[in-house]
Amino acid sequence: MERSGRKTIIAVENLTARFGDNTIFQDVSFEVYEGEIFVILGGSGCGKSTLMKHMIGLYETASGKVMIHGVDITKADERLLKKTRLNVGVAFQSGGLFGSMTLAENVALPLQEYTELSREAIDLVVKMKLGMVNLAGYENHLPEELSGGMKKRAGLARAMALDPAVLFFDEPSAGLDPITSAELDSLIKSIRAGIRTTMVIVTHELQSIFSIADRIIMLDKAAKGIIAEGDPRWLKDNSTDPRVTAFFNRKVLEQEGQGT
Amino acid sequence: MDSQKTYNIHVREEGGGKTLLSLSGRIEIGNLHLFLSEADGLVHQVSPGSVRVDLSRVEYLDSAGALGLLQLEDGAKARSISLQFVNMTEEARRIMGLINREALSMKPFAGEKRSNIIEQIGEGSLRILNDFVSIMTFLGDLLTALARSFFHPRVVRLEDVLFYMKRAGVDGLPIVGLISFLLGLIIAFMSSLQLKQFGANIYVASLVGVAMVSELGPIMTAIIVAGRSGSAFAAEIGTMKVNEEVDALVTMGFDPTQFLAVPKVLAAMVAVPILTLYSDFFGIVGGLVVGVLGLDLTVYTYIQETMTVISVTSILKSLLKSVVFAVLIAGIGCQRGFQVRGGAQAVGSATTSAVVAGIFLIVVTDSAFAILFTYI
Repeated sequence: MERSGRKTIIAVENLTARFGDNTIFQDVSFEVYEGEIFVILGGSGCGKSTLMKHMIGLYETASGKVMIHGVDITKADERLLKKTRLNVGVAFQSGGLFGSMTLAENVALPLQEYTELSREAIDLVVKMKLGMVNLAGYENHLPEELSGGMKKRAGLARAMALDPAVLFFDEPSAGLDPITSAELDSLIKSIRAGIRTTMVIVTHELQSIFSIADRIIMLDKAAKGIIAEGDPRWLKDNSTDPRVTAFFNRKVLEQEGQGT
Repeated sequence: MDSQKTYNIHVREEGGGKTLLSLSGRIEIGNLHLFLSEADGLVHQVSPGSVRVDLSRVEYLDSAGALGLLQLEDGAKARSISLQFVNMTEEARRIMGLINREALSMKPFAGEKRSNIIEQIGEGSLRILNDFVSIMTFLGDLLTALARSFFHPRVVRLEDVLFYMKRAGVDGLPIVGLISFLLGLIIAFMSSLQLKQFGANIYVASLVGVAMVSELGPIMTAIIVAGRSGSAFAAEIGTMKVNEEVDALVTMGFDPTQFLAVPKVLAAMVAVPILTLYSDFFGIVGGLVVGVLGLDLTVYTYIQETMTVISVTSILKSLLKSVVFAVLIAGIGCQRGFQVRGGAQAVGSATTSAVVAGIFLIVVTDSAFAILFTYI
């Protein structure tokens, strides 16, 4: 499990995803190391979110393995899968908050279910988690009363409720203004620095990628698989693959254009 | 997550009012409650003075553990004990840095305000009034849209009308047929028990015929359609509302009532009367089965007797009723859908309310028709 001195947390081996006859990607293999921010990247429709949902066992794989902490979740039974999932937090694209519950109840739910903490201790932890994502004071608000960015942050607070070893985050900056999105990026970085959680993030926002990612993989729709893997800053300058350089450079140009 | 104690607190009096607490092991979310109560006890035990907390042997600290340490510090501060963490690792420092202490003591912003009983009664009354107003407004909208569709048939989305006719009509045939058949069977059977005593078996046919055509056929069909289609209309439009599809229609310049409600209402206006005829027929067949098998009537006499009590007018009245029921069911279904605000739960209550209000309106209107038809 050790390679270049770093511990592997997630290993994806020859994963193939198929919906009916439509193959989304095939034979995808990569590893995520402990404590890193790992970004899955690619254009629309290349299967980024699908790959993430396979990694957390929401979709059934056509073939291949997904090992989290050495457990193959594609073959694990319900009990083992549940145990593995307790070590994994997922923040969904639009928050995935339960609309009928207040924010405090949303965050408290995993604590009530999986710990034996008293009500007071749970309240305290909830306040702390909401404080971490800058939502202190919003305990009694319903999700519908929040903006999109706040919902994402609340979803993140809920995903972090049990301090999971791995945190998945689907499109943290989609639909957010650049300032809110930058704030969320720095929040992600400070959480990683504080709790040393391994993060797997799906995004296509270049600005986020350069500011947070330690390593990336880039998926491509036509290739049905990974076309680049490594440090995004290095790839941007050194990749010889025209698809990779086109992705980075066009996006960078676009952003410079927006900036002026 | 297990809640075993995986940490240890060692207390050593150092003299001169000084105490050293050595923490070791794992302080994490699974045992936060144990840690909090133990720390609270310790703070009350040690004599006021200064306390040093040695963290050098803490193996693991998650954010909940860091919270526990902060609570320990606050507890000490409240009792004027000066508390100092020593040998804190860089990692522990970073985790504690993540915790926003103001957030812990911050009062929640006012969420939903609780109102007292008088306010609640007032709000409830206003709600009923507003509900009535919004139903009437919607009905006005709907009738205008229907009138427009009548004069400009091209604005009607015909494919939608056909689609909903299939959903509300054709797909409902089996259940309407079955229920009406059983209903006819039950009426015939129960009434025959009484009529047998007078040798008036033959009147079972007229009773079933009159009951089905003038009352039970239209009303049962309407109730089944309210349950099947009224609820479906409310859920469909409600979900569109939640997904901002209705807003999209408005911004594109469509009238949501015309676009979404009119096809459903038109479809129901065609489908429900046909279903009613079908229901009448199956009810009479149900009665016929009892008459022939249980009461020794012939098929011919049963039908003859039925024909004498059912007139064309009574069938027309039944159809008129069912058209009105159709407008009410589909209309209330759409109106409840348009009322949805919020999320999944709101769609659920709109669906329930569409069925309940639909059935209520059917029964009230039916009573009105009973009086109307008697005097006309």
